[in-house]
Amino acid sequence: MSQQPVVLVGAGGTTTAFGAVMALRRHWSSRVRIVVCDLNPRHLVTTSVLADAFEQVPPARDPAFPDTLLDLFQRQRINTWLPLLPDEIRVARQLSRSGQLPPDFHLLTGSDAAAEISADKLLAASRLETLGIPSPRTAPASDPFPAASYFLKPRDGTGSRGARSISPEQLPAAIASNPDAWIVQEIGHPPEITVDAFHDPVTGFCRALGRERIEIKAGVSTKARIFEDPQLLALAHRLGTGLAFHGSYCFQVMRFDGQWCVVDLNTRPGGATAMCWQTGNDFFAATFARAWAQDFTRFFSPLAHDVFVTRQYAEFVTG
Amino acid sequence: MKRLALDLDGTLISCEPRQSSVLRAAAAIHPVTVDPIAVWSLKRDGLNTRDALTRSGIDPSLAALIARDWLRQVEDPVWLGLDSLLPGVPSTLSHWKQLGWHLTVVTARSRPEWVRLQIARLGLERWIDALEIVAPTDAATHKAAFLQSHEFSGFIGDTESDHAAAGIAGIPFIGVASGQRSLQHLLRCGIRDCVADLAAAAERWPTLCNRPIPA
Repeated sequence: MSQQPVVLVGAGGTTTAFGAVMALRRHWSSRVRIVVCDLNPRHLVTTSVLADAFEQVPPARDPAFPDTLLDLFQRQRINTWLPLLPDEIRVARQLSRSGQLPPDFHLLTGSDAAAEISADKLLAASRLETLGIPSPRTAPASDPFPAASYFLKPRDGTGSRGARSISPEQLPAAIASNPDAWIVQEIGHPPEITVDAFHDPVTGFCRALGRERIEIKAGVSTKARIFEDPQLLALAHRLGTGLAFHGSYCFQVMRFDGQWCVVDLNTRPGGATAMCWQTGNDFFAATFARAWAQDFTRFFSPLAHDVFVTRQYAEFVTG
Repeated sequence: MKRLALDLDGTLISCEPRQSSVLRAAAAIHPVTVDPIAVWSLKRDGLNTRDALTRSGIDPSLAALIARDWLRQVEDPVWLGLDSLLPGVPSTLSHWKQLGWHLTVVTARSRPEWVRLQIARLGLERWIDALEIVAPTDAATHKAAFLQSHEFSGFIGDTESDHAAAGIAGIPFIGVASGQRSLQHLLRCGIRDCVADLAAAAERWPTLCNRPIPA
């Protein structure tokens, strides 16, 4: 892009945001201006230490959120936005559809369809079925199919929060307060694999790495085996073309009757996607490069073998 | 055996993204606006972090505090993740290996425990035959002692300190301007053979060395 990139990274307090900003600084350093926003104050957001500016914003579900952002875009001259939370992505697509985003603006959320399904697991299951992409049987928790046990998930959940195995007997009590807010799925055979993927619809380029989550804390991998698998790559490509994904996205698969099925889908990179960067595959950087019409293939390299990556906490003084 | 010694930071891998980002982080808790681009430019011109901060308009006592915190953090593993291979490095190293050169990285780091991990992560292992990590305090003397003891044909680095080490060891040196110091600064320091980066150093090498490396 001819003008200096000015990037807004949403949900600044998340691991995903930190991974995105690290990628920006690693490859574009001070050539990019970074604005981070979060509902928490600056001193509680690690990513703020790498940003040129920080903005505290209302929660994405707050009615004031869209106007707050539009004001922020103008004041900070934002020209690229990476929203990360489903609610934030939904607002982003609404602003895009209504033509309220500035001209020549790069919104890194994939398509409208992708944004819709990322916030609604029931809709996602329906879309996957329509596309013929293998997925587990899914139903509203208020109207479950007969089964010995279910995997219960919030319909708009993220980061595995609230998701758990449950028996048919336990189900009514578990969803009693808001039955429409939950879905049930068939339970597949472990391990559950996260697939970090990148798709460019213009060239058809697709890259995917499997990430077996060996240890998970707060819904995010802390120990993982990263590997290549042609079946997962094919699945990533079908999702990319079928749902018009562009840039990075991630999804989870499990085996059902020996076949990989998509059990969850995100239109954005995940909190542990940054682990892939350690293997020479920087999905965040590729997403920004693609948006700015730069060579994104340089951020990927083949794996010679499976790679194990672990994470440890790091400490930052933020205020 | 044909032996060539190479500095790491600024010669093979980037150093500006990490230095500037750690500067942002170190300054973030202070009521001051630091311009990382200006500070980096001053450092490329020969200043250390504290003096560059002061020269860029930061109060000297605050500059000393920020520089101290910067130094404490700059080799933390999380920040090492900001380093990447400089352009042209893979092809140049690969070319040298094909010509039979034994390549040794000679670097000054205060946290040596993370260097091997970083070299593996960046994929440098496939070209690098040996690694020598010396203490950053009086790095030139330490590097010189190592260079003298291993019969290197030459040393390529990005600072006047690297140049001094090669001088003490009595071996040819090429300065690269891809890292800590600018071409103008290296020339001001009396370094005659200065080039933009490692690929250019490979082209310059035949004029310096009895055992030429074709470009």
